[in-house]
Amino acid sequence: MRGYIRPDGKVGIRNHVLILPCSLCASETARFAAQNVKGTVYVANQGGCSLSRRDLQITLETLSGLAANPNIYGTILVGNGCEVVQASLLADKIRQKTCKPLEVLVIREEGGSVRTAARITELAEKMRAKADQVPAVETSMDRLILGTECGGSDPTSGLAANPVVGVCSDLLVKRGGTVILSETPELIGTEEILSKRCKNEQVKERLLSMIKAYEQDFILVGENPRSGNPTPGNIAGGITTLEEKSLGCIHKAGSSVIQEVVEYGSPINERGLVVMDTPGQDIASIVGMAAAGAQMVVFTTGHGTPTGSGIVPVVKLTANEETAVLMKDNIDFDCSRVLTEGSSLEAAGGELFELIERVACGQETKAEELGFQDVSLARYCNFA
Amino acid sequence: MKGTENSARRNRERHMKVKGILIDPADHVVTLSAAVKAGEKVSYLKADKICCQTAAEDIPKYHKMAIIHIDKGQRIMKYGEQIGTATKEITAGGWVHIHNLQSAGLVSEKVTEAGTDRTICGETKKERL
Repeated sequence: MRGYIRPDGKVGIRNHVLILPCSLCASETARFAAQNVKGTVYVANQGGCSLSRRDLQITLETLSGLAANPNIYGTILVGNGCEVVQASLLADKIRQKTCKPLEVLVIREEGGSVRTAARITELAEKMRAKADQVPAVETSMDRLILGTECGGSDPTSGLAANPVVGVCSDLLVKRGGTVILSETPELIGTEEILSKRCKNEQVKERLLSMIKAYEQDFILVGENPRSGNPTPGNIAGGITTLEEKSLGCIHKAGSSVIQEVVEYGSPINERGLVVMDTPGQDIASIVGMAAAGAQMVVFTTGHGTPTGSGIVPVVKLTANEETAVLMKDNIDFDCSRVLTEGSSLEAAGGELFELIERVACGQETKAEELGFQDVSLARYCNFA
Repeated sequence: MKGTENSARRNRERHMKVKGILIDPADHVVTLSAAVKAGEKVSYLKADKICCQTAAEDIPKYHKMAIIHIDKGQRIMKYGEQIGTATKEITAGGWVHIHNLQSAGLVSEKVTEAGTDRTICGETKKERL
């Protein structure tokens, strides 16, 4: 792994300058500036205002986490001035997490969008020049935090793609690295299985209450996540029970002991396998893991999904041979030969690990080549 | 390069027969990578050895086939874990799906004279006959 050592001691595998709008009202001004400076990434923030207290807390945790992500050299924070996520509030939260370079601008104080965009451009160019002076140094894979995600799933996901990622996850944990298992709704039905894998009672209690709380929230709005799963499409595809569906999903995290359970977007303290409370929406889940400090995400897909993140490289793989051909612009790793040629899961998992090592050394993913920067933040209530 | 091609061909040839995917050695079912007809032999890899099971009925692609005899009420394993309980006796080679496999801990039904006790997530609801 080739890393950029940050002043807070963390190690990034990318060296981005982040332009971060505090709210949707600042987003377009920030986007305009981000387009002007090569080597910057931008977070299209669709929230940041009219938030309940709980959503304010989630937003602050997540946005500050993105700025603190080790792949980020420094951040230019842009507020409008009147939003709930005040620039000063978010700046304080970022400074609690990291001592990396941070600039703060408020559109009203700068005198409108045009002046602000010009100022962001000027600051971003300076920050970019400094970022380019940071050397990439050899470091080991034990510094890697790898998020795992699945989306656009089909029968090949649970059958081959997720188990292949599971092999790769186990390899990384053996090397001393960290793997995040996400998507709480997909853990429903696996409580007993995951309980047995928790390192102690405290982690087990935390995991069970996290899954229960997620389910309770659905029940409050008249939904039952168990009754709708597996879906008619899943059943037609050969999945019979909720346990079976969820097992296919959790397999991507491998078989390691669960060391910690963390809230959405919150920093990770332990090494090894960690569970994060994220929604089932893929992009919100990726953003949560990036906010927690993951430097890379591995993403399995059946139908094929184009997603990418500006903060972390997203390595996408499929075991569906048609998808591998039809979506070759988007797929980084084709493991369909597990199904078509009978190759072993271990061999494919080993090859995936090698790809992850190359991406950790700077090789661009398909989504990075395309410049994709999907953003979605988890939220709890409707806009206030 | 030639070695790789040969190995790919060997894999393909081997796979002509290997249609069942056994995810964990403890599993009671294999998942089929192609549809099979009743009487067709299905091979699968178990610890790098090729094993064989004759399909007892037609089974669709990506669906499950039992590789052992399963009694009614017995737990069914896939991914090395329990995916549910058999609601009927299943012969080796039989199709395993919603007609004979049910979620274990989540939904359990007890048919009594008074009606059906349906337990969902630990809450018991009575459904009258």
